[in-house]
Amino acid sequence: MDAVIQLEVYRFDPEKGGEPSMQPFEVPVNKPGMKLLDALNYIKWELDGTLTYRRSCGEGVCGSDGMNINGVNGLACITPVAGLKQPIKVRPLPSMQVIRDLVVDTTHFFDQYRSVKPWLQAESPVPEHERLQTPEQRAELDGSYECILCGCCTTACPSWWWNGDRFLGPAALLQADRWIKDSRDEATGERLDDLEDAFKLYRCHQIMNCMEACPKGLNPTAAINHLKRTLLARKS
Amino acid sequence: MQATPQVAQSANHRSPVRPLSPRSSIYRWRAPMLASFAHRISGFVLLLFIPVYLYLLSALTASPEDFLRVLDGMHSTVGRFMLWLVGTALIYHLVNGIRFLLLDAGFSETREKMRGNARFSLVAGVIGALFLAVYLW
Repeated sequence: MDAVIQLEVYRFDPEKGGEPSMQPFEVPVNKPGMKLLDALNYIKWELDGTLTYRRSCGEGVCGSDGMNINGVNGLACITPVAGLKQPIKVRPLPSMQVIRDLVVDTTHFFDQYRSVKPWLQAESPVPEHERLQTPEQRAELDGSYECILCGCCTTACPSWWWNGDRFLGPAALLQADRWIKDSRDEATGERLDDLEDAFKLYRCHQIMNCMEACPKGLNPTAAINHLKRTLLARKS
Repeated sequence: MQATPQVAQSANHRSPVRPLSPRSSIYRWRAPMLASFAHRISGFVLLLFIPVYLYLLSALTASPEDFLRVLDGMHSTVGRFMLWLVGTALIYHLVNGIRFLLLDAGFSETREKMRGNARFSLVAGVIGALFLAVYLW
């Protein structure tokens, strides 16, 4: 294996300041099925130790290495380099404050997640063992609970780019829908009250970049549409 | 100690030392994104046409001379282009508007179907534009 791949990586160093730039790198393909994260690791360990990015599990579970790869958001650790057009352009998640290179400030993203109260709210006394669900009720959560909060969907959404201060974005809304669908949760009314807002929910214009970006194959657009229908059903 | 002001500045969410990562200039266009943006643009074109439409309506009905003058104007290249533009916008906005209504109602919730019907709307818009161009010229 002596093939070489070309990359262009977004660089920004807060200590040096100045404008961010794209830096070219050449990386050897050193194993079959090589992923983009392997290429970034090679750059960091062999070529330029100052390259900064987040990564942890390396297998698409932790959601740390969300980034913009050739114009579409995804996880570097599960994106094979083989299918990517070269030079592979690697940038941080869009519309975020860049701390350094590919590391962005996710504070606002997680504040929005927290704002939908992503935990079970129930007033009724806790049963002796646990709050039971039928297999059908449990199946309602399929397609929502798998979210790893990598931020690929929210930072892919133009509505969120332009109204991110008020529009909650696909990730937080997918989670809101997850708790509204949960048969054990007893705060559905309050959750819906919180979402009934021209900006928090209704800035979604079915652009569907969230669905295209989600590395777990989920569909936040469908979840948002389900929320809208649930609100409508409550009114009528 | 020199780093202290830097850290304090970085802690600010809107800090000038943190650039905004690129977004609309670099994000790759896919069919659903194009379909959504085309829907806004075609809707805006239809909105802009309302005063033109009202003007045409009043001008055509003002007098026989005005009728002929406006008719000539509509047959000019500019007039035909305007009709083509608003006609294309109408066809696309109608087809994609029905698609949006169906999505709102809960039809085609899978990723494949959402992609597929975005392409359908775009193709319908292009075919409509071609058909109108042939019809008008």
